[in-house]
Amino acid sequence: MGLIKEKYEKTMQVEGEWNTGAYRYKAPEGYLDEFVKNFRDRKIIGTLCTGCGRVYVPPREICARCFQKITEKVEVSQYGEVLAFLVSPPLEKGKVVIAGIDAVQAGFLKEGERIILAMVRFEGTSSSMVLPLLNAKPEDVRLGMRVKAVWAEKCKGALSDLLGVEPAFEVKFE
Amino acid sequence: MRNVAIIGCGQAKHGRRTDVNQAELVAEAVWAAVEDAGIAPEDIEAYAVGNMQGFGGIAQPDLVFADYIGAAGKPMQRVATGGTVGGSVAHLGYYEVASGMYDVVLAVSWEKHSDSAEPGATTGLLHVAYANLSYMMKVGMDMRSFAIMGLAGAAAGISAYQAAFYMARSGCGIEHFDMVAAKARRNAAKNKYAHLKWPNCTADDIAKTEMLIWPMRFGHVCPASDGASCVIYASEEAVKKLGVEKPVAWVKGVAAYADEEADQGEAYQGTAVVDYSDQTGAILSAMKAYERAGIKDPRKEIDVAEIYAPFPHQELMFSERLGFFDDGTAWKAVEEGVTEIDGDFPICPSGGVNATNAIGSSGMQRVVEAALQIMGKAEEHQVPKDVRNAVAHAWGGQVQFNTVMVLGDSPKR
Repeated sequence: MGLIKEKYEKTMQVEGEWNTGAYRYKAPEGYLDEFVKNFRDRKIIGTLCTGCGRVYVPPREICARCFQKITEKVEVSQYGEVLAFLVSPPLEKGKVVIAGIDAVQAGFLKEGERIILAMVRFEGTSSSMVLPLLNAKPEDVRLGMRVKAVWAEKCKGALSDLLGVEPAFEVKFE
Repeated sequence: MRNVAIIGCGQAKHGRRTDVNQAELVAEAVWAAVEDAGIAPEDIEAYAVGNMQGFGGIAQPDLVFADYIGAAGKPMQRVATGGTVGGSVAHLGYYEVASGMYDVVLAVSWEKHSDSAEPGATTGLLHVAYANLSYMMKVGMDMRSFAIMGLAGAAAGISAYQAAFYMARSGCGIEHFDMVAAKARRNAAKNKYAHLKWPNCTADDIAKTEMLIWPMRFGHVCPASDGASCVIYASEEAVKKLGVEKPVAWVKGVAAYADEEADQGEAYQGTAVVDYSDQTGAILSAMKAYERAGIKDPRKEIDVAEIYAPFPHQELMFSERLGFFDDGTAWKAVEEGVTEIDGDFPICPSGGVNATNAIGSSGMQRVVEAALQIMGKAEEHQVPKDVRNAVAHAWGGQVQFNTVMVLGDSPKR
């Protein structure tokens, strides 16, 4: 008979440490380290495939379309467009539980906030990125909307420096 | 290549199966298929098996159940291609017979989500994503970003992005997702092996369910089922030799293509898949499988399709990629009832993966269901028309692996 949750008993617990940061896993050598290092200067650096001209952000070391190694690096625009988007309901305790941790209870997410996730393509790039869309109301989000990168007040060269994107300026005829 | 027929199909009862362990679950489908084929276990020459790697808390369940399915002393191979695996196992079994290597081959795939605290998550997806997440944390992903990633949650998450892309591409509304999900639950109510059954479910019923993350509702999400599905293949000569007199389903063409991964890649890198609803791999698989099967106009020549669609937008999206409808128009066909059991082009009359999702089993179950429609054995969910050709599709991986199998009521000449 299979072990079943109804008869669940706690197994023995052992304290210990496992330094998972010590391993490479799926990450090619160094490629994201340099990408995030440039966040310190609020720069988004992608890679350019000389075979097809595609610019990848985040950077990529192999072009899957041309099957060739990419070595060229290029800085890309801080502006981009919203290709598609998701909107969360107002967040509550007990709704976002990841690996047993309640993200609202733990303070990672604020109670009552609504998170908009946008699939953004930065100008001149050939890939899309999922980023939080900040400083916008869900009802104001539109496909193709122009957005710009939002950076942390103090950038320290970490992935978390890029907070997301926000609506860019609008030019209106008056 | 030799002609190959499916001579027997078997399914375990899908749902929450805490009454059996993985080996017993797999054996349930295997013996149902052996009985259906009307052969003896000794007639089986080789085994093709597979499930989603690492799910259900057992890394190599094939080591355990080989004895339960009579594989001792015979060749047995396991395939793992993520969510696509059921389709890949079905293909492997077919290759083994079509190549002339064996005459009778059994292919089985399965999943048992319930042996896991959060179905699939603790022992499944978390370990799949573990290497990605650990590296992203190493380069400074904070807990807020981690929690935001978890908002949409794992496979549902990447599918929510894809649903948003599909909406942006086709102009369909969330109400069309409601319609497809309601159809899945209604059809499942007619299928004795299905998990989420809801007779007479309407789009309004689905619309009343909680919004998880717009545009995905709770009512759009597939269940985490336990189950196993199995088919037995035989060569044309073996069909005669074994004296199979019941209707069989002939494999007319198969194809499987990998596409580039999406969702910023497996290691948070940019990929050229800008729109997750492109599904180039599905298009290529379908085109090649139709070419091999001699199908020129899939919309006219195919009578019913079983599509791997855990989420309703995927049934719309894949039915376009597989050539049944033009790009961005499937939702119009759904509005007109074209894809209902008694419609002009029934899709997932079994209720599909949206109503029953035992991951590894799901791809194989599409083949089983397509074969049952051809054999006329789908009972309550048999489509009320002549079924000459049927399509079984499977999808998985980082949105990039697809398999397509075309089945027919007569061998290819």
